[in-house]
Amino acid sequence: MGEASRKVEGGKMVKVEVVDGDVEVTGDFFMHPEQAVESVEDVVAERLDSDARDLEDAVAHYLESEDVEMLGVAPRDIAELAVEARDG
Amino acid sequence: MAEPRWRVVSLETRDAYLNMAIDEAVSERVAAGEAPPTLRFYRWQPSAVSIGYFQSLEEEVDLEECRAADVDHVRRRTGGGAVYHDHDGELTYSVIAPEELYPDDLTESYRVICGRVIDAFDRLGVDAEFAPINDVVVDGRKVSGNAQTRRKDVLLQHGTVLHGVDPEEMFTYLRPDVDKVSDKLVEDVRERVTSVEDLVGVDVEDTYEALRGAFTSGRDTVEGSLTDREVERAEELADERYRSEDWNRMK
Repeated sequence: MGEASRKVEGGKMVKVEVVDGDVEVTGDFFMHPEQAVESVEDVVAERLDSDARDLEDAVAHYLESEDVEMLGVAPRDIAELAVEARDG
Repeated sequence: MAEPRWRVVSLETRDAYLNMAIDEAVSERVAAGEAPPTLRFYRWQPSAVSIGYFQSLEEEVDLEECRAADVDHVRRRTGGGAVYHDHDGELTYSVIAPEELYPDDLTESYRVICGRVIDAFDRLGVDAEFAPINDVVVDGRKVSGNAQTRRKDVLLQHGTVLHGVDPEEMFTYLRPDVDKVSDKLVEDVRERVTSVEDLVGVDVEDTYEALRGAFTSGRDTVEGSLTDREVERAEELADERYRSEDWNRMK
């Protein structure tokens, strides 16, 4: 359990922290509505044993089904960082 | 939707909490159909650091340095990055309007609104350009950062125009991505950031007039002020949310 961060394509910084099964996503990206980030964190936390591909699909599915727009970061970034943080 | 009459709230100076709370209070009234689309221009006193909705306060801001210099800190309800709002070196604008006046596509709506910022620079004789997602740059150096949110069919975009910037002072309060501010970092920041003063040497009033002129150009506007209801609601939001450490330390 740990943290992982990266400057993603387009220049935004994104960090994922995994602590005791909880996930926190921070950075200078955009998401509308903003409160949806908590649900994105829950979606990832509930599937922490998954691989990056499954996590990416789960995040993308959530965004689409709830009509949440994300700008400056992609589901793949969050998924890959979560796996990196989990394994770190 | 036909272009409506916009209310223009002229340059005013308030603290960080009220500045953010007023943007939200006006958004609520626009959403309720009780306020016209609104343009605001403001400065921050005391100087303050604002962080994006998704940022970690502790990671982005040197709170000890802020306390020592009476620099406030506030979390915005918009995403994006941390900004140092120097009372003497920065102007902020807000656009608060029904979403339908702007493109659905977020990047396109940034492009449209940042176009007004670029026009302001043009009026000052500076050739600026849009740098997606949300910046305006001159020769690749940032002169304006912008952040947008949309709630209840209302778009709020606020943005900063760097009138005068001192990177060393800025990075006293903002934590960069490295452990400490080295001379090299400040040089690097100088390369990435510039300001109106550095570029054309005009004073802050000129910058404001250019910004206001650019944002009101071609629009039906009326000089206005905040209503009592907006001010009361803003004071409530400032106390309940923007001054609260629960909010500011949410991440």
